[in-house]
Amino acid sequence: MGKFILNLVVISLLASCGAGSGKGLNNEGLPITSSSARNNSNASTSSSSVAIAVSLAQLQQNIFGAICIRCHVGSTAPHGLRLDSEDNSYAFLVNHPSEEIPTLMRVNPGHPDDSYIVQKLEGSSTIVGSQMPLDGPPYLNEEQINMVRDWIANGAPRAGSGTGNTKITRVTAQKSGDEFNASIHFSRAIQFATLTENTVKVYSTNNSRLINIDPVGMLLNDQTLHIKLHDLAADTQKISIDINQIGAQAVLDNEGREIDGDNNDVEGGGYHYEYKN
Amino acid sequence: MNIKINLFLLRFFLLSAFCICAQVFAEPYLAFKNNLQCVACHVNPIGGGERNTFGAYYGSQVLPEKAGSLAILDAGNESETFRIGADFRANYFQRNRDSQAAPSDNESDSKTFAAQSGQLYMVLQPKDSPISLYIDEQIAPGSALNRETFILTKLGESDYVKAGRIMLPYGIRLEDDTAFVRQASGVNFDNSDSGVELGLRNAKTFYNFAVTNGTSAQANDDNHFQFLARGEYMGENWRVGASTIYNDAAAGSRSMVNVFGGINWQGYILLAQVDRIRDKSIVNVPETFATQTVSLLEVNKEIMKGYNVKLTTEYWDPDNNIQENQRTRHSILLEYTPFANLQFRVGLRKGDDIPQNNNGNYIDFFTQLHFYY
Repeated sequence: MGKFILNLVVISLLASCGAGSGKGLNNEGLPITSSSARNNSNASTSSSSVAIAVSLAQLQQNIFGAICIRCHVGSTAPHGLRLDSEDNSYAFLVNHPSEEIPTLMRVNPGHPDDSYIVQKLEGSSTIVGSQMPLDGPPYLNEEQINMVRDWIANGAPRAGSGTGNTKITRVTAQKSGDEFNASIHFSRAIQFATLTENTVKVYSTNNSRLINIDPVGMLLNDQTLHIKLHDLAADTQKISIDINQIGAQAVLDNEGREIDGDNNDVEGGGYHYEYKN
Repeated sequence: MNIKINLFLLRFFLLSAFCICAQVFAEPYLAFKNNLQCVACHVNPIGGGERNTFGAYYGSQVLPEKAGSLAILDAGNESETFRIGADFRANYFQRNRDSQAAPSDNESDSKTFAAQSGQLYMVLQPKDSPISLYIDEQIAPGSALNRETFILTKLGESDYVKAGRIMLPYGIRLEDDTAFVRQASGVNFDNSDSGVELGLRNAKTFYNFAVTNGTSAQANDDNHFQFLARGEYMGENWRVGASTIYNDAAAGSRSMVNVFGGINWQGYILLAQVDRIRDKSIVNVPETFATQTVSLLEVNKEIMKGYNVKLTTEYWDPDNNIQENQRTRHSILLEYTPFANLQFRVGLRKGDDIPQNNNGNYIDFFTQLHFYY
């Protein structure tokens, strides 16, 4: 019996020699020549290649098939959620009630904030159980989560990048001293020329007085608009950002459509954000 | 005087139990080290969760560098019909990416504090009844998650039947859910399943048989079930076992089999497990079903009282039909238990994956504070 145990140990040791070279494989560890086995026809090879819009194929290759598949595979996938192919990812995610909070869909097309998968990936305080992926930290980074958010915001299409309206899927902001930085992420690339003082308005509230800040420093990086303010007054209580408000000119995406600022699934509408000190 | 006599009797009883008890522990290396089964320390016969009186004694008097008070060591034993317990783990974690394997600047290094998990356990047992209700509720992070709730019925001295939401007794029940053998099999603390389990124990052997939904969800998603069988034999200072799971899902079956073993060799506690997993619903290479091979080797050594050094090496081939896709993970950590109910862990872990998968190439540094009750 001792010999059996020794053999078991030796097998384990030998098996732990090293990782594979990855030669001829894609991000998912699948042969590039047979990538069609998992329907990767539209997948890019880099998570940074998302300048226009995210497809399910990209998510499959970069997130579901590369990270989530460690557990969510086969007939014993946790909570019955299989993410081991594009077909399965779509079938078990889109308009599929979550197991842990059945009133929420895992993916609610057009509504990333109301999609349980986003809450699980971001570790929202409302989730049941652990943040995903289970072997985190680290968890998915902001760019990876934005890919999921963008895909859902664009209607969670089965193929291609979808026909849903372009939306604002995430805003992050920080004030440090007299500086303020905000990043506003759109679900598709937008036309920089349409980002003007008329379509993007920034106000500060000082001693209950509303002050229009103009000009505003803006930089568009792919799908993310960065806004930077300097020399803010010490008594700044609140900073507001209005985009695409009624009566103003419209922000257009790269296909010339107005963004859906109020997230009502109808083209057009204003977006409002407030940062409070 | 009476107190002194009572303490003496309690100590005598517990030490006697330690020496003669041929059943169970839950941090698996401790069970292997002491040549006991999991039920020696835990209420749940397959280990983990609520500790029994001897488990409380071991955690208070044997494991720590400085023993706790004998008078309150089993404070979770509220009455002869009600027992509570808890675990909480808080982590600091730092990941450094392999810069050569992950040149992309979007894969940045990370640091974080995290409340890894907190559990509350409750056991209700009517007086003189062979039936008890066991509840294991995860209370952090996030909203509450029921990990296990089952009715345990004892059949004689040591056999039992469980029914309800249960964790499956598959292979070695490691605490680390991120271990490859836990991830690949899907049998971990995050994924319990609904069904029934039969356990047959004696001094040297432990057999488990279970039928569950196989979905780890609230209900089954087809009219097929999952079947499990596990057997373990204990020698003088070693043990071997094997387990298998067959999930006859409508979407395509999954079969898993593993062999595991361990030995206490001159104070070095070796644990090993090798798994093979076959999915008949996954075809990565035409005309073949995906077959995974996963292994774990763990070595523990108590370097002085309260200090344990743990080395692990792991291997994962996610599809044997594909070449050069293997992953490995190697860890070294120190577990220090200064006094009862508290343990510090500090460790380094190196993960190696194919260069294309940035997430799998890293060096981690982590510390953990573990409260157990």
